[in-house]
Amino acid sequence: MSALGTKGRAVVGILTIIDEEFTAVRRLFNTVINIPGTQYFVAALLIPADGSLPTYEVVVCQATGQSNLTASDIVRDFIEDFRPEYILLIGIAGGHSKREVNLGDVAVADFVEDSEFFKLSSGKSHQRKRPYDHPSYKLRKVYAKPLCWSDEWHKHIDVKRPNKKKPRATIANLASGEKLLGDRKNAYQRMLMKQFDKAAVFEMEGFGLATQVFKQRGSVDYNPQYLIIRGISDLVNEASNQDTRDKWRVYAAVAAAAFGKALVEKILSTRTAAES
Amino acid sequence: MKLLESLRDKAVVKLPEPPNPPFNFRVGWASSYDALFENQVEVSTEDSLLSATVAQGRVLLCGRGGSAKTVLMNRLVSSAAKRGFLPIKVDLKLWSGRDVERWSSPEADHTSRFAQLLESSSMDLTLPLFATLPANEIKVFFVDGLNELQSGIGEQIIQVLDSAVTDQLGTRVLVSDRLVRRDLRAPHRWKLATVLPLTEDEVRQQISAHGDLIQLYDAATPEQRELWSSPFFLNAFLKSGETGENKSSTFVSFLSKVPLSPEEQARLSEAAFELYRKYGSRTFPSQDLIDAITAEVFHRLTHAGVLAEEDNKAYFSHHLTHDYLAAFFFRTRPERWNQSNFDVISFSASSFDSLAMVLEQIDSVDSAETFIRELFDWNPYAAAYCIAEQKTDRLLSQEMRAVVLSMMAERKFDLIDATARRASDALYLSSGEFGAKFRAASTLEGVFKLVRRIPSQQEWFNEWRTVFTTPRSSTVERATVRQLQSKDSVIGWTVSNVLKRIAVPREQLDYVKSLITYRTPVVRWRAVHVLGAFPSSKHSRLLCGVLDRDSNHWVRFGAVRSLVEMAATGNSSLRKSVFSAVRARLGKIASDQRSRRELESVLLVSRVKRRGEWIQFVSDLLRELYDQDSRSGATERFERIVKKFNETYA
Repeated sequence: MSALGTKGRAVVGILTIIDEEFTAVRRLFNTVINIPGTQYFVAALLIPADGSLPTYEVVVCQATGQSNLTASDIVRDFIEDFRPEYILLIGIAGGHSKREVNLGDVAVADFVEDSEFFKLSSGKSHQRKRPYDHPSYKLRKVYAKPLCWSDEWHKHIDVKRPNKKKPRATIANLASGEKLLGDRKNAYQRMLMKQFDKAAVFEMEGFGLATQVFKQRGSVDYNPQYLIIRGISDLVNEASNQDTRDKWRVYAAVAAAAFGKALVEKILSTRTAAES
Repeated sequence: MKLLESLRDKAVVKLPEPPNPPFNFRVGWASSYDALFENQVEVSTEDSLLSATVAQGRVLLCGRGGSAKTVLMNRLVSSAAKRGFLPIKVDLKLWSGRDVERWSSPEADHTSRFAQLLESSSMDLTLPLFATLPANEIKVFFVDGLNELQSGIGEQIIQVLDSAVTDQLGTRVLVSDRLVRRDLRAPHRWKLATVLPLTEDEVRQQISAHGDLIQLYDAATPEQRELWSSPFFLNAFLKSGETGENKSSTFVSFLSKVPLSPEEQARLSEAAFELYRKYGSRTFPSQDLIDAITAEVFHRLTHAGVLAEEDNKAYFSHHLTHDYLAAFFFRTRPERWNQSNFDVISFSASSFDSLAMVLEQIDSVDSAETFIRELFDWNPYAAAYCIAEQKTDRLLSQEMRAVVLSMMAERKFDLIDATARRASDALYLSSGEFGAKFRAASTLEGVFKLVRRIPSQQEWFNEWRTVFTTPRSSTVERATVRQLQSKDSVIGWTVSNVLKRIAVPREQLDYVKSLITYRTPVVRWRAVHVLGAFPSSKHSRLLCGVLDRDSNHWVRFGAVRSLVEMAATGNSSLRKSVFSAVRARLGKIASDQRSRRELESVLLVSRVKRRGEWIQFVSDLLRELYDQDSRSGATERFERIVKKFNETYA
């Protein structure tokens, strides 16, 4: 029996940030029922007859805003309330077109960089380190990587793609900071591109999730695994990325949710097979 | 499972005998601190405390001293064990100075502090042992006596327990605290409760069981009846059979049963005060007290149940007894009514019960007003609390109450969010119609109106009133500005506050500036306080000089506050230079925990102009402050600050 939270158990907990992500995830996962008095959504309310707390396959929630700290806070709530075995952060992000991602692609993070913590002195920036977890090797290797090679997740995409290219998923490094990178000429943004020269995905919540998972891995009875799935809605190395983001955000959110949906189906079917 | 059972047994066996007769308690649930202070609560039974703790994870049980929080916590420990949970009782009253040192050491972090709480539990748990307990068993921490420790440590304990609920599986916490707003990481995850006063029916029923006392009850004043709605004082009445007008007189009756000669009581009360000074805790080595009062008196006190002793450490069986005794000594030493001794008797402004009892025991109007004035100079919130605790007008005139309440009401409109909120809280705790009127005043002009309506023939009050109600568009006489130097704290601070809100001619401002090197620290503090309202490069340089050179902590704090105020109200260029000056001194500010906390709190100004620019400056400063913090727990602290920052500027 897995660990129990104050509101029950969840096999998979999904965190979204902006409205487009939340809408896409709730629709694709059919998690449209709100658990009364909470921020959580599920496919159907469960009320065990014996008075015990329910176990849900998927619980979804939305952060109250962008930023790593907000994400960290909501993950902490999620863990306390449901102790999810797997935590997925599904949403959109900026990509770098010269680093193997492009608009509409889905990127699954294999490594998270903390791109915010610098000490600026004597005209130089020195990166500082804070401890945190990286995305789950098992989730990436067993579920995400095989999905990247297949197109079985495409069937869940239910909105029109803004261009005619085929959906694509890949594994990539991710950099997570506190600034929306919307100006490729900005000195700070250029510094980040240079400093994190292997990062293909740039966003503002992954580090918060990674830190909280690290902190909560305090018991042998609870070992949460996490993954970050990002649809690329704009390119941080190209001009006018706000216009691009406006054009692509809905599709990118749905593509990420579609990939997440296929991944969760695999997780749940593996569990069902194991249990039977 | 055997381990769990044995721990459960241990928790219950270690409980003290419950008081007899048992009272029926009611609990009030509040949706927020505001609701709690306004007494907007949903009434429930005491059992709801345990149920809510188990279901929700975190409960803060708030209440004044003597409201039976400890008795209730002990009952709930028993109840938790019976329901199959593991109760972990931590009595912070038993913490000695050494425990506080360990908690505050630079190496201490969340994990070591959690381990310390476990080791302080009644069953001597350790972190490795705790880790072996089954994950899905419910473990409920009952942490009693947060108010026994300095408020900074109290908040850290809340943070550690808050984290434990998330990162230690199956952990729940119920913490007893005084009626004070705590800075909670996630307020929505805490349930707030209070122990309600005993109902009149309950009091009458208890007293009726002691047939001869019912006549005394029937003849009692409303103030006495209110006192007996507090379980501690009702119990004292039932035991002693003597009535008292207030808390202090109850202790007179209570201690008369020991009995103590006047000389013995004088020695005991002096020792009580000195033990607070020496150890800063409710627990102390028995030998220290024996040396002060003799072994024979010590044994008489333990025999009478006034003192308790464990492992050569002693403590008074209720902290209010210790407070009363320290107050008994302190009220006879007006020459010692100063900042350092107020810090001693209040645990650095963490608990004002003892100060309220000093005021209760003072027997002349002059002394009472002197005490309030001295207290006001140290901490205006303490003065407001003490006044709120006086149920009669016996010693304090309506004028003195009006002065303190109106100055508190003025703070409601302060630029700094933390100041405004604290003043509002203090007014909420001031009971009675008078306090409610000041609480309800929605503008400073509304406060002036209330002050003008107070009928008074007192010369000092009328003079004060004239100064306090000076209109914003007006000026004051030179002689008034000179009262910044007044030994009377009320007039000195009133002038300081008034100068901040009116037009001050250059000549008068020059005089204010000349006071920043005055010999008396509080006068320097008042002067730097004024300068905050006059943003200029020159003034910011003066304040930086104060920050660099002044030896007094409060004056330096005043300078930081005024610099922030200048930055908030000044132009962009001044804002930039002020932040640059503060950043250059960040190392010095950060090295003192109190200054650092104060800086963090004054930076949050929700009504600031040119908000975007302000946010950038403040976030850069906070980041740098964090960068200079190499102590453990820095990340958690920073996260909390950022969260508050986001809440303020979202």
